[in-house]
Amino acid sequence: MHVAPRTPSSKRHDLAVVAFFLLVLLAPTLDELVRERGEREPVHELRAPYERPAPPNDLAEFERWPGDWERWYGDGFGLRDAFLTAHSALHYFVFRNPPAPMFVVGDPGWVFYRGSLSIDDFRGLVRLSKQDRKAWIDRLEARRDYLAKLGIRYVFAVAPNKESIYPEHFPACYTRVGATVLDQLVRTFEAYSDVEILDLRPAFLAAKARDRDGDYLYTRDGTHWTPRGAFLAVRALTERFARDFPGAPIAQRSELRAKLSPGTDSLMLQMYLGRWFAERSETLVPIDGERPPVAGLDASGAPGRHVVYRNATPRAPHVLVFHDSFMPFIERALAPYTAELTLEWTRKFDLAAIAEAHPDVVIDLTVERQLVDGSLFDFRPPAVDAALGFEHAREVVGRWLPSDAGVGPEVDPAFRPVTIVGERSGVLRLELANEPRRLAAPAALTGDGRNLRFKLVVEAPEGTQLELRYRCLGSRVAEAGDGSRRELRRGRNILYFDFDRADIDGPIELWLSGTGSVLLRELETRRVVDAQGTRK
Amino acid sequence: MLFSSTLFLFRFLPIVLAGCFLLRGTGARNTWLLLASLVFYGWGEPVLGALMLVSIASNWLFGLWAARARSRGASVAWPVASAVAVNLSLLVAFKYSDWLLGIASDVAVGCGWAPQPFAQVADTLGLSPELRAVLCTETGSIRLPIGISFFTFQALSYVLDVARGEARLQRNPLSLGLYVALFPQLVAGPIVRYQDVADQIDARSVDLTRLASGIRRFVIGLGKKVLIANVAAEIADRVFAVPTSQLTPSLAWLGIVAYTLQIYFDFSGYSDMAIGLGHMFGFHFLENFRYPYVARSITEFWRRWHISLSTWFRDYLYIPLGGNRRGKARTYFNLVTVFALCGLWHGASWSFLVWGLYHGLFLVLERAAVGERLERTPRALRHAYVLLAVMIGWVFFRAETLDGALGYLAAMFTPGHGDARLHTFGSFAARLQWTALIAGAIGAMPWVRAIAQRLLAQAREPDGALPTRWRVAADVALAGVLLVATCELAAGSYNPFIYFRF
Repeated sequence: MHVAPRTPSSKRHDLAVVAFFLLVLLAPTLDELVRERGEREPVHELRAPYERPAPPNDLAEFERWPGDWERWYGDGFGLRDAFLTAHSALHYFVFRNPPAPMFVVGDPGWVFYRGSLSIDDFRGLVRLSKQDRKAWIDRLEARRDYLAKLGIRYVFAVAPNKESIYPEHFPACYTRVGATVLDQLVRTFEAYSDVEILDLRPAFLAAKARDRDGDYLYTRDGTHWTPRGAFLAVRALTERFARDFPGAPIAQRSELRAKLSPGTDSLMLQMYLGRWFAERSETLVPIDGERPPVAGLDASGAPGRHVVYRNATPRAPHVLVFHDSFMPFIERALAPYTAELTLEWTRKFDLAAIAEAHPDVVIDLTVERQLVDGSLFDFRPPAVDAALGFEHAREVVGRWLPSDAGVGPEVDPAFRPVTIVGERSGVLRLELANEPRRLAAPAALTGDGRNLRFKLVVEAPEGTQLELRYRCLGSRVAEAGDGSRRELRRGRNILYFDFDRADIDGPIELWLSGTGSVLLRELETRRVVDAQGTRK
Repeated sequence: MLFSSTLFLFRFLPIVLAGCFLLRGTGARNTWLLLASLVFYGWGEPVLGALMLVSIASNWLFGLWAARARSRGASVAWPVASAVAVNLSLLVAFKYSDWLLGIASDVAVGCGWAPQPFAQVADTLGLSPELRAVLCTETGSIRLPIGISFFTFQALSYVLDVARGEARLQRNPLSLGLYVALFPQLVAGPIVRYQDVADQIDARSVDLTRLASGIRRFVIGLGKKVLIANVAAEIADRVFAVPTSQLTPSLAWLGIVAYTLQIYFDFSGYSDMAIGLGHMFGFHFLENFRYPYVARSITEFWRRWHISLSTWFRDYLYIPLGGNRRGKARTYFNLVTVFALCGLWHGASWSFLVWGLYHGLFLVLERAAVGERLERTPRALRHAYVLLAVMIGWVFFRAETLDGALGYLAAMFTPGHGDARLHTFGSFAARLQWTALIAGAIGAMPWVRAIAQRLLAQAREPDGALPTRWRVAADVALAGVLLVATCELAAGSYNPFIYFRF
């Protein structure tokens, strides 16, 4: 710092320094006065902004409050978006450095996602021990065997990491010194197990030879498939279906087309560099028009998403997929090659979902980088009795969905005000009361009546309680119910009720009471069968 | 709250500056600054912040007691002993109890006296869940209140100086509170002696020149912290996370060079920001760092590194222990004791103790035998000796455990150690990191400053003023640093998530 005699010129100079400093300090506050907070919040970061904390009520909340407030402030301070854009531009253009550790900057225009240990995996530093490999065999064979008892096929499919297909665009400093986890697993399963891993890499590497400038199998600035890459995945899956289900159709490129996607998986956009790199995001859809899902239309693109597509494709299997973020890019293209396609965005091997979907094939579709953590795929099959219990009442007697207009349950007027949510869907909103109110199941759901089990899918707000009893008005009036009031979770609840009698021969009524309101989304009746498919 | 945060820069600092310039009179400004300092501290320590109030109140009373005893010609031993006991008890309870209990637990288990270790404070004391949430970490260790080492030493020095008659008594508890809690130096120093700021608390002024110079110093500190220390920390953190068995010598050296720069730019950056903020509010704090890495002996290093701490230990521990007045052996003992405690002041672990003893040993060696030979050694070798010794010391400072430190040192000095295929240089330091390291290496030496001063001296105009273009160029560069550092701070809130939606 210089020390100099003060002159009018140096005073003006000091004044300019002070003014500039104050401008930098105050500009964000001025921006907060001019622009809405929403314009600065982390929309590009694909996360919900922090909420402003309520005033603290106790010591523990008092301790947390400043940190919570600072996080809320950090998500919306003035000029945040401008600062982040400048920060990312400086890192990317000047230093070729990612603005956050989540990204890896490759060749110009290429960005990669750095998942947990994905770079170590790419480099071949993640070595599976003998125990690790045995654990992998155990967990996939357990899944396969569990499903086989239910007459369901199992496919374990792996979507390659982008860097596995395009290593030449990955930073050169990440040298490869060994086999990836997927390499090790493929070799292990080929040698020691008859579970087949559907490894998409060979198909992708072969197709890569036909890449032209700007036309790749993965988006350069994203992590997922382009329509060309998506087709390879759809083709591989449908070929696999055709192997187990003769006559099932195999996807042809001429039957599918690329469609601009409203969303984007652009990492550049996440890095606030969208104004410089605007790669189109496209999904693959049938050329003769796409059919919207019958359930989950409003599902968000995030873990927990549940979507069902229904088709009348002859000889095609009914497929359930446990998946991650790669599925949304192929689901509309894959759906026509299935009789029914149920998608569950979860890593969990969800037995309830399997029971609910009653599929012919279960697919675990996972991105390669998730294989690094084998525990994500841990599965302990339930005991045989439990496996054949309520969840596996396999024979569907009938199902009502809101889209089945005109054949819904008969609702007691006492439920008033009964409201129908959505013009097309016909979801019923039922206001509960402590008095039991009748909800008569449609005749199609009662069948001939033997050991019926009901499934209700309801959505509820926090704190909703529901009690359900059911009656059969046949030659002998029968009643059942567990008599206990159930606390519903916030969101989607699947409730099962067991009407375990062999002499049901009339209409069935459900009697609901409780507190709060629920949205009735689905009603289904199944009949219990045992392992050999014999009706109990 | 950190200086290097958007909340501090965009909300707290403008409000506090506005208050100081709108209020008239030192008393009102002091009250405003004290309130601001308590908010600043309470923001980071909402509940344990009360400890600082306890410290202020108790040391104000001890000061009164010591001054009264002194004015009556009575012994000040009791007030001094009480002040030392209370202050050190606070420090030991919150900073060292977990470590000490851990040692006691290890000893007890080792001797077969106690089957269960009692290292975890919460479990040992049987605290209620509410109190446990406030006092303890999730693992049951006691929480370390922010800045407790700084404000405890600062408050204690006030009582000791009053007892010695080196500082005048402060009868106004708010003024003493301001001295202890003043936010610019509260969290990371420098440790300000009461006698250095006593007059400024009572009367001070800020003019445009001082405000501008404070801003320049603050921006320099912000740049050091955000643009160099934080980037160097990325490298150091990643290298130190590598298992020591895999470290190659070159990677180990990269890590320790990065850490050497990180700790200097981090610490001196905070000191610069504190000194700059002090200027903005009319205070003058003493320098805390003077290019320590150009020292030609470890003794000189400690005259340049964290000066306020080393002088505190000199004045309140080394000299009272007898300093160098009681013979060689006692001097050496005093040096080792002081540096062992200096090491522990930095943190409650064996690594810090070893780091302190290590430096104490060098000071003893230099005083006993090596010093004279060192004087006859070429300057370049003396610099190399200091850098090498200091960097080895930083390994103990940075490593999580003693074993980790020894493993790291083995990697540094064993040719062929580790597996070069596993960790490439490029994956630890790319263009940005190398830029920061080179800028840090240049900035840690006084060459740039010396060259600039020489050029400036030649360029001075006849009236002695610097040419306008020089001043404009320097300030434009600082404006750039401020803008880039602000962008980096803003990026602290950048937290992208991949699987939310598309």
